[in-house]
Amino acid sequence: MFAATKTLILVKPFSPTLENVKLQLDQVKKQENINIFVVENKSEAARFIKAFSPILLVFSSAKQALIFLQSLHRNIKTTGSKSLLILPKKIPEKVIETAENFGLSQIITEPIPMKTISFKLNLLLNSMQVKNAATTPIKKQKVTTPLSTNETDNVLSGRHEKQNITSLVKESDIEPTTTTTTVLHQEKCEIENHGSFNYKQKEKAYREHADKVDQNWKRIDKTVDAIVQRIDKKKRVNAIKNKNNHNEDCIDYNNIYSEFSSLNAKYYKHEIPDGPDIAQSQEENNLLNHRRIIPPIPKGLNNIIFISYLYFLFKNEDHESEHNLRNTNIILSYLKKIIRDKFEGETIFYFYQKDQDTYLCLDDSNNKAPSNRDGDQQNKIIERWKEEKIPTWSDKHFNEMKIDFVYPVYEGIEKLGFIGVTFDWGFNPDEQMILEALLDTTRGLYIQKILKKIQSSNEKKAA
Amino acid sequence: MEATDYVTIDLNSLNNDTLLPFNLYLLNPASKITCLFLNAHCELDTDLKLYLNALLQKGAVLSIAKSQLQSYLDFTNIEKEIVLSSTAGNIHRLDEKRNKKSEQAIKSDQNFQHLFGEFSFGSALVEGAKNDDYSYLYQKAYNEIMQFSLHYSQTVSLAIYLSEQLMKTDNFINRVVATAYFLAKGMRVINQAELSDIIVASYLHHIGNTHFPLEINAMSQKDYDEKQIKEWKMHPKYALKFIDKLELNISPRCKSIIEFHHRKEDGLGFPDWEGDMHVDPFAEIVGLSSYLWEYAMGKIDGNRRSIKDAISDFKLKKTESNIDKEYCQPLKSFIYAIDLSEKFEKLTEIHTDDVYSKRKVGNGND
Repeated sequence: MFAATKTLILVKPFSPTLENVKLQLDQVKKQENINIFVVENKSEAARFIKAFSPILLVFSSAKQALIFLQSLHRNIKTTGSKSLLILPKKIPEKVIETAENFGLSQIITEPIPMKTISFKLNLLLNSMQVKNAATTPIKKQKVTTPLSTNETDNVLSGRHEKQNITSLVKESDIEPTTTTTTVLHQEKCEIENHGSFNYKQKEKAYREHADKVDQNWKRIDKTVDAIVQRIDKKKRVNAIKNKNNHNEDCIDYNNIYSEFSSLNAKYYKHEIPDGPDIAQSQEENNLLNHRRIIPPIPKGLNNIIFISYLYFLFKNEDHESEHNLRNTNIILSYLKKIIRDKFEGETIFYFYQKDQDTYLCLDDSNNKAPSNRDGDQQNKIIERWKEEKIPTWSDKHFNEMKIDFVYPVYEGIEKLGFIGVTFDWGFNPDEQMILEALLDTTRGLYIQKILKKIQSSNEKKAA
Repeated sequence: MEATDYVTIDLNSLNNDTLLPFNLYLLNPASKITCLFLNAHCELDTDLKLYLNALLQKGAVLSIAKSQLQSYLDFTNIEKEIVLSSTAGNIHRLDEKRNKKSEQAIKSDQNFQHLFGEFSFGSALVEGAKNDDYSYLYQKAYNEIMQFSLHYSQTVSLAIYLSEQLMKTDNFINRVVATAYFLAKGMRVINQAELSDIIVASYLHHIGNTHFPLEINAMSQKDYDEKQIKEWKMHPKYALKFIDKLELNISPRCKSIIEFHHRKEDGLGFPDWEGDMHVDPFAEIVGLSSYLWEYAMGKIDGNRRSIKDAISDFKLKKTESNIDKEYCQPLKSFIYAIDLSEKFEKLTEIHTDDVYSKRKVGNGND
């Protein structure tokens, strides 16, 4: 029998059967060497997985299981933990499918006798430990050579090593030796050092990474020979096939490699953090210029940052005080100016008022309709805008010159208003998202002006 | 043919296509010798690609002949100016502009040195606190950022662009960016890519506040309800929403800084703790600098004060808020771990002098 303890985590809320299970487990806890914990948060469960892996998670509600597994499925997979769902009712198959995709190992639906539940629990617990015993000797080797993992997933490899150490410590319960205690001590020290950050640690990590790159390079040196041989073989076969193409230059790939083997290692070592340092020599700067220029693509970010700064200028007063009203007007007129400069469009902000079923425009010019359209068209456009529920363009293919765009603002089901933009000279469809992001910055104003009113009136009605 | 007859290109611009209408050459930057790597219309299979990657990692430069430039432009739909910017003789207009700006920056740096002596972060904060004017701080950061290179990644060029556009006035955002920049430099981070990760993240980490009503923006955090706290905690997610919507090509590290700038190494803070994930120290830097200025502005407990007083409060554990109750403790150890700690200590010494305590009433309380 295994002397090591098994850990079992029960997740709240409990169904009546799960409570029964818990009562029965409490009686047999000491004989079977089982640790039982009751958990409500997923963060707590994450810590348990870290400390006692592998574990068995038991749920009795499908919703809770989905929430837990969505955030913890990676940890569960890597530690070899398992999960069980005991359902009091039947639920749609779609939910079960999604849960299985996240790594739920078994589902039991009631009514079901107590014996089968206990049997399945035993089976799951035993299967976990058998796996663990079989894989540990391989893991031991991994710990001794930590740099043998792939070059790309250096972060992942760090995770695996940590978990391996914990699994080693678990085994030590069977045969306690002196080495395992030192491992435990090291792990503790690591955790303590993480609390206060040192630059030395960072430097160390850099150095390790650089060494890794060196090792990779040595490996590449070995594999290059094999690759070159393969390429040469293919070339010979092709040359025999196309006898007519004798004029073509024959490329000697071995020769190319020897030409570049003289290059210094510092060129590629610089690419570890992928960027140059602040103060460099001119030679390195010249080397840099072999890369092509990357022009910045801000997509209106600087305007969005400036608007977010304007939001900081609100004072802690009533939202219709003089200062705050002026600030809202500044934000709206600034947005109008940007859209006029960038896209040559005219914008109007409509705020919906639920009591009177009308729309209010906050403007210095008091325009209630787009001024660059004729009188008949104005009413048509506005009526079309009122009915839309998602952002839409009047012409989907962007062929027409006179085109308009609506951006309705919703919070849940409540309608807060909409923003209309009219263009005279067409619109570039690639810039669609930039316009939407710019208009999205007014959401705070809409929530303040409209949603708060609706909520307060609803509260009054309820009272 | 000489080395100037070739144009260097990027491997990513080929879009994983295997049949190319032009020859590929490799250039040795040290000896300036070129050699043919692949003929046109020959297959660039996986073996050859592995081999090419190995050579590029070593420092070789991928290039094409100038006579075949037009077919490359047709194949990839890249502007001619941008492609030619990588060759030795040509200078792109953006590079020309930036060279002028960096020359100006170096000149103004020399002027500053002549006036105020050598720059130190602590003394810049002290001098700024006298008149509540921190223009020296952000001006110095601006001068250094203008000397970055436009040839590296989208994040670096974005950092240059944003600071060029926005670092003009002395406001809350520029102060946060400048302090984050100098804190990182105090940690001896000198890589341009890493520094620009911090710059872009400190510009973007609070744009989620455009989705909040006026109360949350204007009230101090001390007076928040539970509902308002819940809403306020969404702001990193809103910022990421903007980035996803605009499909910005910024580095994944920059995104993680924005998402986790309110989380600590020992599991405190938000968003939720997800098992084993390691918290980036840069995220803590951005979190610290924005928290310092918010505390000085009175966003946290409602009292306005100068940055000097804020830092001394930080040391005496006076800062508290109902949201980040144990926020200050890990950050305090963080401050001491940085090299700047001496300057911060000097700052508190000055603070206790009589001269400054008399002036304290007028500082930052207007």
